[in-house]
Order: sequence, then C-alpha cells, then structure tokens
Amino acid sequence: MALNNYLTYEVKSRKIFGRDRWIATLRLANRCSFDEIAKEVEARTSCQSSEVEGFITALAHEIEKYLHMGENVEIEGLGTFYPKMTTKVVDNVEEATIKNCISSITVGFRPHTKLKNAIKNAGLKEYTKAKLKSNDKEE
Amino acid sequence: MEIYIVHKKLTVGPHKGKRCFTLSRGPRRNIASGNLLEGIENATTLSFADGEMIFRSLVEVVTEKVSQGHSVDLGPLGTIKPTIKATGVENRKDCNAKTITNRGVQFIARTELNERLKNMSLRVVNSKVRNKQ
Repeated sequence: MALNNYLTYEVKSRKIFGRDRWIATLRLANRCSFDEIAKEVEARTSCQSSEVEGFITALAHEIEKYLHMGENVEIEGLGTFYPKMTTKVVDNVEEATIKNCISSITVGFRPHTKLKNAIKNAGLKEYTKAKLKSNDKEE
Repeated sequence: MEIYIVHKKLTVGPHKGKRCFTLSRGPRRNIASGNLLEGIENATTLSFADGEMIFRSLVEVVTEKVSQGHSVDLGPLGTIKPTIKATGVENRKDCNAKTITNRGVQFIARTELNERLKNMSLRVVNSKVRNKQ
C-alpha cells in the first residue's frame, strides 16, 4: 500500500445517550467526481476518458439489469451489488402479499475483502486545524 | 424478480421464537465480471479486452481513492466512501486512533437507480405454502 493512503479523523464532542463524549469522526478528503475517475483510468490505460465514461455507464446498466432479475452482481476487487429487500412478518400465509410484506427495495452492497483490507491497512491521521503564527496575527 | 413466501422462526425481538410468514428472494445466482463484460461489449464499441483493462484499472483507482479517504462518484451507479466506527470517551486526551473500532465502506446508490428498483415487477412464486400451525 502506498504511504499516502491514510484516513483522517477529527475528534468531536457529541452527546451519546445524554452524556457529553469525545468521539473520532471520519473527515472525508475531496470528492472524486465521475470525470476525475474517468481521467485517472484513462491515464492507466490506452482508452480515452469518454470511452471510460461510456464503459461505466454501460456497466451501471448491466448491473441494474441483473438486479431487476433478482441476481447478485459480483465485481472482483470491489464488491457485490444485490437487491436489498426490507420485509415485515405476518401471522397468516394469506396475508403474505407483496403489499403487506415488502416495505422497501434498494441496492445493497457488500464490499470485497480486497477493498476492506485496503481500508483497514490505510494509516490513520488526526486532523488538526492549522494554527496562525504569532507574526501572522493582525494587530 | 421472483420472490418466495417463507415460513420462519423469529430469532430476535419481542416475538422471538414465534413462527411467522414473510417474503424473501429465492435462490440467486452470482453474476461474475465476465457476464457484465459481454453485455458491455455488445452495448459499446469497446472490445472485450479493452473492457477488461478498463475494469481492472477502475477497480484499482476506486480502491486507491477510497483508501485515501475520498468519496468516489461512480456516475449512474452511485457513490462509494469509507466509514469508521468509534467509541466515545469522557476525556478529550483519551480520544485517539485506538478508539476507532471498525473501518468499512459504504455505497450510496443513486436516487434514480433506487427509484427504478422500487418500481420493479415482483412475482410471488410459491403462493401455495400452507400454514403449519
């Protein structure tokens, strides 16, 4: 793993079960846009970024197609996408209908071990606000 | 999508041990990357080999960015970002990296994708399950 792979956490004060506590929260780095990802992939392959964008769009359509069929879609190294159903239970079989039992269907995701390990092996750094030097202070 | 009526025993909650009915997804296949690449090859001008190369680089880039603490926008699919779980402590000086108990990944699907999935057609397959009670 590269040395610059680290997660930054920030210590914040929160109320947990009515008590004041200090807790470490993740401070996300800049959001990587779709274009940035396409350009990054372009730099590593012989394909144009427009082709990469087309590829990701086609990939999303393919994943969606299989999710509609009720299948799990496994992407090696990234994870598994699946249709996640939230259901309710009923006492009688007659009541077990789609309307009564299914409360939501969303896209579920189980990260691949490689991705989980990459995050677990990344370093941790505490975020500290940059302090003003005494010379920089306004008089 | 085909769904099944299942007769199951509740294992948690106030009604633990009670037998109830619910709906569940049936036996499912795991679709591998190869199947996806074939579909992508038909939908785009990219060859199978090009697709495989982009696929590998894409996974590499996403893994790298997520482990650097970035949230990654995957366009029409959604966003992937790292997450942490930590325990709260009473004193500020005790709050350090050791209080972080778990690190994970969260995927947030694009609203349009979730909406389309919500409106998908569902079919109950084994509607003849009898109440055993």
